[in-house]
Amino acid sequence: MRRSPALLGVILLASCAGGGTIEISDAWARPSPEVADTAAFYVSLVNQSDVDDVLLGAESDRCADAQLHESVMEEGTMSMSHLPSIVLTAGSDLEMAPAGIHVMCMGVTEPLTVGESVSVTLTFEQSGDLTVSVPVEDR
Amino acid sequence: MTVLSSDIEPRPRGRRRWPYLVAAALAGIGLGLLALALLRPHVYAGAVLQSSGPAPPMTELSYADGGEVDLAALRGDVVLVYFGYTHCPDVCPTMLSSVARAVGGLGAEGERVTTMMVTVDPERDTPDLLAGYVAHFDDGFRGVWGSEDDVRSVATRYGVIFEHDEPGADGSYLVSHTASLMAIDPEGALRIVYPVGVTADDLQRDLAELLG
Repeated sequence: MRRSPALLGVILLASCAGGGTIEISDAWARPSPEVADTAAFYVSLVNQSDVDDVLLGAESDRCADAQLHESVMEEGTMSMSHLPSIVLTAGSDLEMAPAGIHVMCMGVTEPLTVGESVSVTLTFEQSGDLTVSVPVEDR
Repeated sequence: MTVLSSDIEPRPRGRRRWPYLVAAALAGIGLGLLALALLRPHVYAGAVLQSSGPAPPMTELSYADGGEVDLAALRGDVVLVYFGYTHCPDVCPTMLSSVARAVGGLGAEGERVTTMMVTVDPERDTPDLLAGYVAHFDDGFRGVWGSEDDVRSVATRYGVIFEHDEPGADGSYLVSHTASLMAIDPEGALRIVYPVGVTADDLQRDLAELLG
């Protein structure tokens, strides 16, 4: 889902010693209420290499802690489960989206406001640490 | 001679007439389509509850900024009820953002929509926190609060369940909850249930229809 040229700009290619190549696109976050303790980041990932990679976690200086989470609907009830890691097989992609997989930001240090970009680092087994600039948008 | 004039006339007259015939035919088709559109009943984006009766009361709960929640006082408005909590990072902001856009898109008519989020986490969601949280999405949104027992009784009446997950190492926890949005029509009947993921556009069209 390509939404705007500005978002297409947020594409980062990285090659590391392990040979992994992860393309990150369509990163965004909703503005967070001033009183809120949590927020979510969404990114789309494509493993463009021919080796499997694993997303091991995320961090941002705007979150006391950040974890990979998935909102799951079970028998009409919405739950969230913590994903310790997400495997990205060679050539596969992963689209994070509302009510699905997201990076959960816990202990928001400062509210996310429209127009700013938040730096979020994703850690991969093969590709190492990739830092992406996540624009805060009212979608 | 009359015969001669009629022999000459037909071609130009026919040429002049066809644009009118085409215009008349198009107008006819247009009117037909308009009639079809007007006669076709509105198709709601959510699940329509048949003969559900008046919405269950929630008088044991209070607005975060004060006052008992009296649904009868809101007759004439559409009331949107959502059960959520402020520590919810993904699903609640997604739903509340869609509702805010839908209500905002209605312009002045949007003032006839009352949106409330009932907290399923009354332990952490103090009235102040709740009021500040919902106001982020729309100044008009109301936070609704009560003791855990009272919230649970009301939730049960609405077919909503919620459960605190195991706390993490830091004591923080998430809450699993029924995350549907419910619409009460201006006559006070619980009418429509929306799943997570309903778009602002669909919701706005439905709200306009419910408001009449």
